Amino acid sequence: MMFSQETESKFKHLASLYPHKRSALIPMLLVAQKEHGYVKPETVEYVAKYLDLSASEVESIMSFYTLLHRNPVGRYHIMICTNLACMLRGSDEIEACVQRKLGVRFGEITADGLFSAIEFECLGSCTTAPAMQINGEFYEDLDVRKVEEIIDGLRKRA
Amino acid sequence: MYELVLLKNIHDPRAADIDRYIELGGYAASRKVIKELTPAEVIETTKQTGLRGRGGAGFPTGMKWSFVPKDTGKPIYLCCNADESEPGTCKDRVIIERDPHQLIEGIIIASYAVDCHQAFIYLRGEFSLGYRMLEKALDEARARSYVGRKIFGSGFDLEIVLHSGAGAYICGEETGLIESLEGKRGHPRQKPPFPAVQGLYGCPTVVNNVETLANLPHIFTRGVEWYKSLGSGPKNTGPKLYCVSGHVNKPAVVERELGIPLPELINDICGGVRNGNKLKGVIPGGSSVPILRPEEIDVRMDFDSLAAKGTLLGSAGIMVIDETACMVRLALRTARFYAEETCGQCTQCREGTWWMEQVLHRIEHGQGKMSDIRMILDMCSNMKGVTICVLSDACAMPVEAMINKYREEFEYHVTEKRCMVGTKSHAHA
Ligand SMILES: Cc1cc2nc3c(=O)[nH]c(=O)nc-3n(C[C@H](O)[C@H](O)[C@H](O)COP(=O)(O)O)c2cc1C
Ligand code: SF4
Ligand code: FES
Repeated sequence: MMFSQETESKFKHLASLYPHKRSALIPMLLVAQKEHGYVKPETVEYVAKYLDLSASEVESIMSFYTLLHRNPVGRYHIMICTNLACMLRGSDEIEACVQRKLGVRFGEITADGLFSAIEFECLGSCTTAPAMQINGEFYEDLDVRKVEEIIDGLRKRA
Repeated sequence: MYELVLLKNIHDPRAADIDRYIELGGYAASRKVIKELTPAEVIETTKQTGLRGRGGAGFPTGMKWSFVPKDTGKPIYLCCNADESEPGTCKDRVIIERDPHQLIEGIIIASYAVDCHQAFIYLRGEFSLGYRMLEKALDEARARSYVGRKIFGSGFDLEIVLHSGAGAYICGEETGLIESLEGKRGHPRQKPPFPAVQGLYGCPTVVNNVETLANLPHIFTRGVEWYKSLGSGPKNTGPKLYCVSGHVNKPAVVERELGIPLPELINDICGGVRNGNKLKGVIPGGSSVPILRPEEIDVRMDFDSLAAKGTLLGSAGIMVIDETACMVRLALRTARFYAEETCGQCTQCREGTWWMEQVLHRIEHGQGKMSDIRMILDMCSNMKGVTICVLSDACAMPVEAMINKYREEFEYHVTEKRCMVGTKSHAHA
């Protein structure tokens, strides 16, 4: 069994929502990623078959979308906005702080597998800048101390 | 005192619950529209209000709907553009997260107007909370038969599908959105044919922005005259959301009439430039529009007043920039965004954005030549008006304006190999 019952039933639901089931492709990949942390090659095969597409077609479409990961990321994946509004309010310091706390460069995973971080484009949080997301949840009005606390908190929780 | 319309519920923590939303007067407008008006009347009323799209282009909403052919035998689709990704913009998110039923009502009214029975909300993949809020709100509306079959006990069926994107700015462009919704790469399509004629799955399709749709319940509650009483003129009517970010004391998503004077927004509502610093410039409509210098900011925030100043209302993402910011760095960050987000179909856009980033990077890091500045300006003119969609223009226009209006900073970077502002040296050579 590759996916949980819950994921399987979500697949079924998604494929039934659209006039053409292919429309479910990206939502299905997102659901699969939620379960595995990234989109595994087997997932690509599976979803392709599910929607009557070829695996290479799915691969090529997937590469267009930045939220779909083809490789594992940390259990906590940090996306730091570095676009204009955040830059104006100090995203440089946020970036530096995250890298210092994690001890890895952007795109890498910490040795314990807990964290990874990347620079990101505008998150839609410009009036509460600087901002970042961790696993899809917003962290806003950041400063260095807040970021340190957030990361320490997640470490403790793990 | 301005009375809030679009944001009137957002400080009520329960407004996202359907019971509370109904208590606050919700679903009366959409019910009335469906039970008492014909689709043609809905289109006509919307035309009379002068409502123009809030997604960036400012196209008259009623007119857009009237382009949808009625007799093709094909289904008609409505796509709510909730992809909000224009740098500097965070207004749709407020509606989605805090007053999702307002948006659903708007979708119901628009769908009825164009005879759509299946609508899609294309939601930015990053908006996880927004997804949960909309999912719950849709479930609540379905349970009451406000969405689904025979809504409000009428003969009108409407299903609304919540669809998550997965991180690609270009999927906010309406034909990129449609391609993406079809399960493909979000490559914009050549127009014509326009989506109204041939959109999703080859069928007539209307794409409307979240804020545009959120206007509709209020129009059908309070009427055309009321709506037109808001705004700065007959072509710029209604309430408007402004996202004021950057170097102001109180950044905020603010609702006022369309066409509020920009200085009033910055100084009276958002507390002015931080630390009493000097203003350097204001980007008034998201990162895709030309910057205004301090002497140009005495302008009304509406479609036509900003166009007269050579810029655009765009997404009304207002980024305020004080004297401490380096314009070269802002230009580089702007170019980098578009270089990242180009879909690559058009040579001018793919190569132009890439080159622009390279050359600006050179200048920013003290390795530029005077001829580089000229070269970027040439690139900018070659990138405008020649591509499938306007992302290419959206890169060229703001960068061109930054160079033309703050040229001395770019030249200083070339000759002195450092920033004109601050003390940081960027010379790496
Ligand atoms: C590169 C690009 C990105 C866009 N992104 C968005 C977006 O995130 N949200 C949006 O509503 N419109 C966006 N638009 C505008 C849409 O193409 C379209 O004009 C709009 O959704 C129409 O809705 P409206 O008439 O209600 O404004 C974008 C346009 C371009 C060229
Ligand atoms: S202008 Fe740029 S983003 Fe738009 S279709 Fe062409 S290459 Fe793609
Ligand atoms: S620029 Fe950072 S959230 Fe918009």
